[in-house]
Amino acid sequence: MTSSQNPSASGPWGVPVRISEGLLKIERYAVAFLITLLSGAILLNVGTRWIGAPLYWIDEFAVYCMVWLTFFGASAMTRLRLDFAVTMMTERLSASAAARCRIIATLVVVIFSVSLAVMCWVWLDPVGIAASGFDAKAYAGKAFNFVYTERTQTLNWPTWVLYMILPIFAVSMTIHGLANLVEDLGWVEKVKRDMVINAEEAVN
Amino acid sequence: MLTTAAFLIVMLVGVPIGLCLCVTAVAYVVLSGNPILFQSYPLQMFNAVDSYGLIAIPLFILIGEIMNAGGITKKIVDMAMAFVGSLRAGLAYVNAIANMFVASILGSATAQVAIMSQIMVPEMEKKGYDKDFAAGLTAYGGMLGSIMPPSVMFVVYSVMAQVSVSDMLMAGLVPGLILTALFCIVIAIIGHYRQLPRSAPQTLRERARTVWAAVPSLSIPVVIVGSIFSGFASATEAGAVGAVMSLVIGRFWTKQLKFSQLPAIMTRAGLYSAIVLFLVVAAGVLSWILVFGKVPQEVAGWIQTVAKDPITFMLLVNVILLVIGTVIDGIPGLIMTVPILLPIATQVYGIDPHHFGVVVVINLVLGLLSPPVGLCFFVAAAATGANPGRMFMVTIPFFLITCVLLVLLSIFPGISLIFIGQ
Repeated sequence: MTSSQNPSASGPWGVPVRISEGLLKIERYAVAFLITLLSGAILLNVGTRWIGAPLYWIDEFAVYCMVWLTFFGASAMTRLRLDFAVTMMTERLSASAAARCRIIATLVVVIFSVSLAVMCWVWLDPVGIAASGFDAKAYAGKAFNFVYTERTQTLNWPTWVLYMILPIFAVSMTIHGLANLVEDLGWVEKVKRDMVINAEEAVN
Repeated sequence: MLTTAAFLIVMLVGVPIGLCLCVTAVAYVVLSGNPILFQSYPLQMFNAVDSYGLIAIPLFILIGEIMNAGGITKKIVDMAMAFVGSLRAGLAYVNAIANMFVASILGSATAQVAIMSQIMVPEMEKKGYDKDFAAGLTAYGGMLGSIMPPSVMFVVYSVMAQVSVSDMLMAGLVPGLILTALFCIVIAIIGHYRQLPRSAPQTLRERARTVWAAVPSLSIPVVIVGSIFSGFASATEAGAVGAVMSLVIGRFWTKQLKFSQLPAIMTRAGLYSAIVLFLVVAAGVLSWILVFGKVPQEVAGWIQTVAKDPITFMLLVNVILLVIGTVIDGIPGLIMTVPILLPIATQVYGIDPHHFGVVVVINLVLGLLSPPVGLCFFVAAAATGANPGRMFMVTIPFFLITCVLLVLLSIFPGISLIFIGQ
């Protein structure tokens, strides 16, 4: 699963591709780190339970590692085009019609990720909380939005920090979607990847 | 209606299924004139994966990746060979039985087919078996990966159905064992008629040596299934312990795994996990929208005009899912059908959710072995060079016997509920 540098990605249309490739590298490290962390956390839980001193917060910690893993990985797989898709129709089309369908499909991904970014903006309302002087209680009283006052059950972390993965996901998926789009439109040459196994062949 | 059209269009142009469902949910919110729902949309996505049971998925996938690199599977095949290899059609039995053991370590049918077909098919071909039969049989054996505990599909289902992951995994044990036995009966019949070859019998000393070499590998399913069965550990904890055991055995016993491979293994396991987990996110968003749209009630109204009792309903579900399974892969099929069918099964027909899950999963896995999609056949074909179309034809007896199991499971819920204290 190695990616190679693409020479034609150096022009202005190559900007999203270059950003996306950098982002992908970070996401792959993040995914490997998070799965190691959550496996370690569960093992620690088994160990501490074994010696009769269980850590009550560890389950919650492992769950949040998994949530972040999900969205980092989901963003990466957008770029790697690794997801399950129904190809029944597109497989039977001519090459040019299939290429047009691919452009439409990528465009749908971009539109969705932009919409998600907007939804996150409305939900987390950064302007509103800033206008309340970053006073979570005052903001909750005014906007009836309790996202900044909630805390997790056992770790007692502010939940908004954990929710930040969603805007991160929306932005990174938009960048990956744009990189895929400029490739699909033929403006930039596709980045070659050496995939050993297809994702849908690994998880069903 | 417009929402369904939006879904079909985005699916057919090739938008990934997880995103299709998310986009459909957005379309529904827009069309329903309820924009306030947009504010809770991201939270619904987050909450869909905020579940302890789901942690088992990355761990089960990690076990598969480590096993693949550690050469553990070969030891299990050798052990099955020592016991049943000398029977008529011996290697075919070895295939089915080794697949059953490997299935109690691996959680995915397709991953299992990919691993097992590389080991079993060349061996069977060498002994004079038809390549398409060998690859087809391995694909059916791999099906057990999604039925025997641990199974990624059962974990996804249990989170969607809000039942205990451990209970759900145990519900697959007896159907998995019965299916292995049924496969062995079919092998015996085919072996008799086609005079399939035997392998040379091993001496007692050779058998003892093979078993000794396989003992550490066999301890993995014993620990995974045993700890879930006894309630000693949760499915998640069993997954973590199983991953460490696979690592230790692959590094120090089979000596095929190098620690330097671990970063790549972790990255792959993480990415594959994210694919499944993002489908769970999509399922969460879809269920949320379906409840708003009262879709299960509407579908229930229609189904009740056709199916008057639970058994007719289950048989109808079998037909619907078999058709869906032929065009849509296992886990996507699960997340698209369960939010609609499960409330009907449990609330209208009073069917146990564990029992329903077993039937749904086996149906969808059988879909992985049916044209035109038949993913398991394509995986086996890619690994061995066999012909997927011929593989389907020569394995029709296995398809039919699995349908028999589905009918039995639909009529006798006790088969799947035997170990879950019902």
